[in-house]
Amino acid sequence: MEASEILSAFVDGEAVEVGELAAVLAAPGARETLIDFLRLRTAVADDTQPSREFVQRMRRRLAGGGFERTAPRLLRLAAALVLTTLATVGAYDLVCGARPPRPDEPPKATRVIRFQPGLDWKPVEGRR
Amino acid sequence: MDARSWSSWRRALCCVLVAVAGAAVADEKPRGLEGGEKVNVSFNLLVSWNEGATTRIAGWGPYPLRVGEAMRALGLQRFAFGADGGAEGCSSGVATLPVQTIFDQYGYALAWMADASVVEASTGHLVLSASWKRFTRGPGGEAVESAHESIPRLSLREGERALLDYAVPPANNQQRCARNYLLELTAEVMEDPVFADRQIVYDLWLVHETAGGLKETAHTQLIAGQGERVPFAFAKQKLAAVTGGAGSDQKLQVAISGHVRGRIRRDGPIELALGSERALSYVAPDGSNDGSVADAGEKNVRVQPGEGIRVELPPPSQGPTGGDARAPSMTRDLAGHSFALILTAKPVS
Repeated sequence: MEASEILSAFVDGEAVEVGELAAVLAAPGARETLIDFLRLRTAVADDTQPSREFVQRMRRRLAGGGFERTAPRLLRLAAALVLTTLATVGAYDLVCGARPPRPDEPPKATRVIRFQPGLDWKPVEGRR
Repeated sequence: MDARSWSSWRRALCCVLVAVAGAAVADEKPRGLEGGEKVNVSFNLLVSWNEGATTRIAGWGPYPLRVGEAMRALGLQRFAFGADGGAEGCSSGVATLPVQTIFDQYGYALAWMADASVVEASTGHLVLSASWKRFTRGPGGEAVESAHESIPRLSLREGERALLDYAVPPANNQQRCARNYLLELTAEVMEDPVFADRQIVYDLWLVHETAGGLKETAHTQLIAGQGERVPFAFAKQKLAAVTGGAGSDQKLQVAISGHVRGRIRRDGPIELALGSERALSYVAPDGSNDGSVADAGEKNVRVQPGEGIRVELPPPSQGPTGGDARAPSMTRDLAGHSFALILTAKPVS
């Protein structure tokens, strides 16, 4: 177990080897690390939303992993994919009426044409 | 957004799309013949025999003409003649001989010379020009021009015929064979060989709607060859006849029928001629009726394969206009009813 893990476990109330803890605390910078962990724990306990300070500190601690950049990009890609799919389905539904007409149902007409009485609509003479 | 507003919004957008599409194709009217298409023009001489029916005894054609072409210019003009007790007995024929030679050599009584040209042509509609002269054998055997006519524009639907002249044999004829003779002109489109064997499937719906919101549809499917005229008839509908008065058990019967003809064009669309007829009659419970009053018309349009067009029959307030004594009451009984045809056409693959 590394020094930072021993200190983190100690702050979290977990059981640690006293000898290892003493050795870690004797190391340079151990005091500051311990105080940081305590502050972090206090911040997490006080507020369900991480503070700006907490976020910045965690980023510093985890620097080099690149996780904080990769995850939002994946999320954005996934969201864009979902939105594109929904928009395509919606557009198809709007333009094509979503469902084909039943066999006994006429299709939608693109043009309406009317006979003009006296011009191209005339009486049929001699019908009885 | 609730379901109702979503549906309204969707309907409105669809209406806009349909309107835009309709505007885009609004000028899609038949554009005339194309490719190898021509107009087959024929002259026929019909005779009504003394004691028999009317039959075709002579004719020339069909001659395939392009728009602007005339028979005379192509050397296709002929004389058609009817023998009527001359040296040849009751016979007839067609010849290129001078008319006097025809009378001198064969003793025929009547002869016609005719010419025609194509002015316009499209699916369902042909315009020809025609001219003819009739010659009668005079007392001394001479050929006498007894009548003539020139018709600059003669509008015909495909397959229709026009009677141009009617004549009775000369009174001095001793051995009369016929009561009368008729000269007629016919014209039809000769199909483009590229599409001559193609078929078109038509889906046709009759939509009957009432002011009360009732909507009834009937559907029929037709298959016909390129340029082939195919008839249709929907089941007759019987409507309440208010005009008959209290106690009247008459019904107003509406019969919608017609025909459709289509041609596939080289660039993809189909030219259509859709004819429709609406016949109205009052029928008794036993099915008897006193005849019908009918109106009819034909529309010529150019459509894309599968495109639906709606052809509305005139509302009752504008017809029937035949002058029949029953027409006003039929118009009143049809008030609140509308009839329309919806048609799609697609080439059979």
